[in-house]
Amino acid sequence: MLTGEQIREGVARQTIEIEPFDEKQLGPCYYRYRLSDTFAIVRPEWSLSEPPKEIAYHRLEAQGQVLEPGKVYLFNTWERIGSATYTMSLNGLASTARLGLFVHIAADLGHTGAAHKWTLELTAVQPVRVYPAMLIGQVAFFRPSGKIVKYQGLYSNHSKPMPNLKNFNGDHGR
Amino acid sequence: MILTGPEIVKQREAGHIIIEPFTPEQITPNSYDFRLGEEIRKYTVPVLDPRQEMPTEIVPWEDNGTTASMILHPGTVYLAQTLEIMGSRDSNRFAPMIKGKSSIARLGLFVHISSGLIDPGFVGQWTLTLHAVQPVRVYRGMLIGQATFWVLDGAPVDRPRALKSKLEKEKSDGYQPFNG
Repeated sequence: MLTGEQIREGVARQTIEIEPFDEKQLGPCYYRYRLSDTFAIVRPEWSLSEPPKEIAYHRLEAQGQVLEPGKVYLFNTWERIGSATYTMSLNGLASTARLGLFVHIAADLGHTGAAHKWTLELTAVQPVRVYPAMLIGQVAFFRPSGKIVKYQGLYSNHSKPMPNLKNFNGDHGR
Repeated sequence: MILTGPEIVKQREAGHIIIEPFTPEQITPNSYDFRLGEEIRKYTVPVLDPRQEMPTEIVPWEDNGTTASMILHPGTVYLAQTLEIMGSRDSNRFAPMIKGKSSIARLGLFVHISSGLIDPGFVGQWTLTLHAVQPVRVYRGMLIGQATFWVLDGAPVDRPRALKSKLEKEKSDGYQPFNG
């Protein structure tokens, strides 16, 4: 796992992309990322067998928004983050956890080669208010072992929170 | 260090990692995508008490002849297992970790509950703890999560006997709910 200093060097050498980058958001072994100002609410009719037909995006206003338990809110990272050299892991900040707020749903892995505004799956244990551009999570960088194949999946290059795009009862299921 | 997809293939070919059945298409840049196994169970007691017996029952699939599926509901922990037998017998080489697939996460389905680490040395079907934030339909045999492998540093600690026997039992029974 890279230290904060190595992350800073990686950004300078362009082996790591963090845009916008602010040194104040560097931690001992991670970079603190911010929350987007756009989100979508996962609808009950959405499924694992087809992408949603339409997505309503909402704007997170400065006064914030209360997230209700039992729902999943798709946000993304404020920053564009990625690396073709390292593997990433995106988790919540301890302060986010102390609010009972998940920022992902067991899916923290960021594949080598992906660079985008990462979709976050926010879900709350009790009602909690979130604000645009608040510090919400931390991204860590790992040096992979072996030949690197870059991620070229469905979720490359999105700048908005993305829902499931796969059919797990079809091409991606069996 | 985390193994890349090609390195997982290489280590499997060398016999250091076990993934059976293995489908090359399920290799990703940093993981192997695994499938949802046959059996899904839930607890039959209203309050989970780790000092009491916690019986479970099989949740039946809805089988329409071509697809077997079921709806997972919020407020229930489902104990499932990977279709694949996975792991590494060399307990000093790799630590496997379960990672969710982002597509699955985007519908609010947890595949583990804050415990993704698999004991080095364990080889078997991995137990998944499925938890749905909102109702979601899953399909038997679907890709459900990813296995990552992390390089260990240093000499292994011999596992306590209790854990060894638990793991051996798990090997034969597929999965075990916690009992402590």
